Amino acid sequence: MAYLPSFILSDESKERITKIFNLSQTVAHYGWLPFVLYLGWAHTSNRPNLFSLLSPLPSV
Amino acid sequence: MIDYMEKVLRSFELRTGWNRDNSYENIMATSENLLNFDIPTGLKCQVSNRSTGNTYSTFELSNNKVINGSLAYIYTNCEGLDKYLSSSRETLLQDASESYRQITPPHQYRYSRKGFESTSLWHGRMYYPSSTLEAMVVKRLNPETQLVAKCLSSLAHTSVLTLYLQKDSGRNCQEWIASSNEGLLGYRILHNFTGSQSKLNTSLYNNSSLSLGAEMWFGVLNTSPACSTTLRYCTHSANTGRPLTLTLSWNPLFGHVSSTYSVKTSSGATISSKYDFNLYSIESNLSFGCDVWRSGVQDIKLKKEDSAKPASPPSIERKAGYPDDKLMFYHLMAGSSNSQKLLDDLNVTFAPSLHKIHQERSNIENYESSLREANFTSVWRLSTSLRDRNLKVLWEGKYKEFLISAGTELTNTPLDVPTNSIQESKTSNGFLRPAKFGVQLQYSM
Repeated sequence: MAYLPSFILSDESKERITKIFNLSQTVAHYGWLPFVLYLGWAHTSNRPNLFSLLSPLPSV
Repeated sequence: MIDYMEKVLRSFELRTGWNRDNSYENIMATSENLLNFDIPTGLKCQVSNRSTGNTYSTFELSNNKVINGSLAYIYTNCEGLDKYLSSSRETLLQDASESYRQITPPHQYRYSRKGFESTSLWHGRMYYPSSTLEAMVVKRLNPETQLVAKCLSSLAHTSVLTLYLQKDSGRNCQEWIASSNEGLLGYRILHNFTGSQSKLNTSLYNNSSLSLGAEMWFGVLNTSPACSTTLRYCTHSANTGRPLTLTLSWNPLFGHVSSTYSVKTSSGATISSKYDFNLYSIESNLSFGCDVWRSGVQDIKLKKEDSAKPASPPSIERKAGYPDDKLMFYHLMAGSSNSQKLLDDLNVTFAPSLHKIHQERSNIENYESSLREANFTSVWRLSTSLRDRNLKVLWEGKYKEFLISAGTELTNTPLDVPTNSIQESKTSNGFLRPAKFGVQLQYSM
């Protein structure tokens, strides 16, 4: 097998990096809304319950 | 109609002293609002709520062939947004609907920078059933700078991340933009020429503004450049106090020249016209747009207060109590009674010009306050374009606690033909058919 310079990754590593990248994108994609909600929950002094935070419908 | 989440963002900008009109992105906002307004498609319902002091949420359902929905949340650590936000029952229609953008000259746009706090806004919106995510973070770094990150994430398609670094010093507004889409890099600048009270105007009271902006783009991956430049002039009629805006923009690469003229002809009507011309293809287009506001019952209390005000001419004695008023000889008034004679002389000398300034200023301010206090109930918008042969009609109004907008776009071009081939297959049967129709309902607490 020909000599490969150190900056050229093997196919296996490339696949692994792509997998990690895809996984982190999926986590960020589905985790963004819960993260925004968590920020709101954590910075509100009286810590509202989850339902009132999640519900877009106006509470009475 | 401005979405609730957009309103939260604008309130955040107002609260943190960010002037959105002083940006190249919004340099043509007035004519865009009047000519290219959005027509809702299908039936759309939006329910918005402020769930806690710092979080806002919106739930949207739309029925456009299939049922779609979206859920949006905003978190901000900026306090005091409730001064700028109101529920759909209490909001004024002129605040909920996009129309003529009143440009405040930078030297009049005062914002206290002493108590500046670094604040941020986090926004997320998930669309169903496609589960596409819109994410945005706005971070105010210092009184002049803000960082905006926007992301459109989709698991099925390519995701796009765009970063904006914006620096607004009042006189200049600069933006550096980088986007992952084709490796796009951009730079936008807007420069205001009238930075002081009287530079171009002979009058001491100067309410006009002249701005020149430019943008440059370069796609790193496809090595394609783009640029454009725009000049904007806004002023008020000295007699009536009515504002008008003129813009002239030029795209040197495509040879496209576009000029617009928008004027608020009365407190309840705005007219805008736009002429596009292409230097290479010699194609042109003329567009017209207007909006007409209908007001309900006026607030009697406000009216009475207005009529009770005495219409007295300005005098130096009266103005001496207000150091904010920009009198040239204000420093002479400090102290001794010896200066009384000098003051009297000055009063005689400057009385006509002072009277003129006061007249001009009170005209403009009265007009602006009448607009702010007007109780509009509905607005009709019409826009047409001679080349596209279309007519857009939109009605926006308040009914009980709902903000409603309903509109249609009529056109006589065939609907299933792509835009490029409209010229060839022109079927000028003269009948306008609805290409789009929609109703949008908004409710917010």
